[in-house]
Parts: sequence; structure tokens; C-alpha cells
Amino acid sequence: MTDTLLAMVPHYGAWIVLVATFFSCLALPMPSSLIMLAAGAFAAAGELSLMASVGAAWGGAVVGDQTGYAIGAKGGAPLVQRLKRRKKAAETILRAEAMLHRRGVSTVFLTRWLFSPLGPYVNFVGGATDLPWRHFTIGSISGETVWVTLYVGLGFAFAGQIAEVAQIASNVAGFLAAGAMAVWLGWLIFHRRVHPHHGGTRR
Amino acid sequence: MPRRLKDRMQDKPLLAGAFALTVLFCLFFGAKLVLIALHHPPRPTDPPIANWMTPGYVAHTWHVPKEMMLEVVGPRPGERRETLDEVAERLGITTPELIARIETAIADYRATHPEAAPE
Repeated sequence: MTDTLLAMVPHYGAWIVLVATFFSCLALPMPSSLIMLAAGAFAAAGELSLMASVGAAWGGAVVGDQTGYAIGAKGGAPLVQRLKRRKKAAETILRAEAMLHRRGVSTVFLTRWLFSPLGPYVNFVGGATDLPWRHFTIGSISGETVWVTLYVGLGFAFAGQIAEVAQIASNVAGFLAAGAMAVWLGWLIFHRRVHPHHGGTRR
Repeated sequence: MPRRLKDRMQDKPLLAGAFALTVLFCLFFGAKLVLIALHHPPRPTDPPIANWMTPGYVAHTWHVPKEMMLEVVGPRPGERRETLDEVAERLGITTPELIARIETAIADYRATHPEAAPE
């Protein structure tokens, strides 16, 4: 399975990288990290253009983020409105939304690369809760630049060990994403509120 | 657990469940990372040659000239990049046979070019 996938990189070049990063931003199970690592490795070997690989990965990711945001805005917004009318869920939704909006740029930025498994969901939630598009886009463009440079760069530097790098990277990503979610959920549960009815929280 | 914290967990069972799950996931990935760090074999100098690699990729990762690889695999017919599977098919041999040929050629090259041998 992995071999078939890796063989597609020299065949389709930058296109497969673009497709992989695009769909991975929509929460589809795409091995985009491995494909970016492979593209970096093939670029190091002189088989692919480094600029084309980075550009394709970046373009796919940025357009994927915008698509996820648009899907969230279209499909998710009515659901958020419905949940806000439900007494039990409303408070949590409002607090989560207020927090996301207060730290919109940094949340989007960090979930592109440091907590990358959370990225696609932040796209949907950002669109659904009407996170200002400009904030979303600034976080997306800067964060995807880091993500793409990191993975293609690691592939370039460790061309002979991409399978090992991919394994370590996926575990680090899982660890950090789960840790970030635990901290965030812990905050939602345990942090005391001052103005719960305004969606405001103690600073 | 302090009483107030317990109350809050009971107050929001769904969030508390998700919280516990993420803590478990965090521990799971953390444990896997520790295991990788403890049991990871020392990095091999030469990565095993696999069917998805291209001749250029093998040359790069084994630190041998591309010209040497070209002598084994022959010039590629078109512009399209070939994987070792495709090279083997073009030469009418199996991929393991091709890999064995490449390994022999690299060993020969290193024997005559000591500076190309891995440290």
C-alpha cells in the first residue's frame, strides 16, 4: 500500500502532492505527510523540482483550507445556530466560539503545522462559527507555509529515511494534537466563568 | 479529585468523556514515542532498495553517481520517470533481480572508489 503510494510520487510529481494536501485539509484520510516527505526526497535526488513540490503542496493546502472553511460556513452554520438554542450546549458553544474568535489567527496558524491533525476541523468550525475570513486566511497562509516547508524540507534532508521520519512525525503530531485538545477541553470544563451569558470568560 | 472538579466533570459528561479520551490518546502517542526512542535501531547508512524508488533516488541515497546507475538500468525510453518496477519490466527481469544487479554494481563501484564507501 505504502509502496504503491510512494511510486505515484515520481509518476505524477507535483500533482499528487497538490491532491494529497488539498484533501487532507478536508479531514479525508490522506497520507499527505508521507507524500510531502517523498516529494522532498525525490527533489533531493534531482528527480523532481523542489520549488514545484513546495508550491504544489502549499497551493493544495491553502485552497483546501478555504474549501473547508466554505463547507463549514455553508453546512455547519445552521447546526451551530441550532446548538446555540439548546440550553445545555449553548454555554459551551458560546465559550468555545468566543475563545476561537479571540485567538483566531494563532489558532489557525498553530493547527496548520504544530497541531496539524486538528487543522481540518478548525477549518469547518471556523467557517461554521463565522470566524472572520481575513483572520482565517492570514493564519492559514502563514501556517501552511511552515507545514509544507517543514515536511518537504525533512524529506529533502533525510531522503534515505522517509519511512522512519514519517513514523516519528505522525506520533509527534498525534501526541501534540491530543495534548492540545486535552488542555482545551480541560479549560472548557474547569475554567470558571465570570459572564457566562455573554459568552465572555475571565481573562 | 477535589469535590469542585468532580462536580464540574459530572456537570458536563460529554466534555468530560472527550477530555478523558484525549488524555488517553496523548499517553498512547507519548508511549509510542518513548518506545521508538528506546528501540530504534541505529540509522542504516544505506536504506534498503525498494520497488517504488527511481534509479536517481537510489543513486542519491547510496551516494553513487547517476552515471553508474545508468549503466545498470540503461537509458529510460521517454521523459517519464521510471520506478525500479518499471525498469525491471523494461529489461524483462524481476524487480528482486534488478535490485540484486544494482547492489552488485554499487559494491563494485565502492570497491574501486573507496571514497564512495559509507563510513
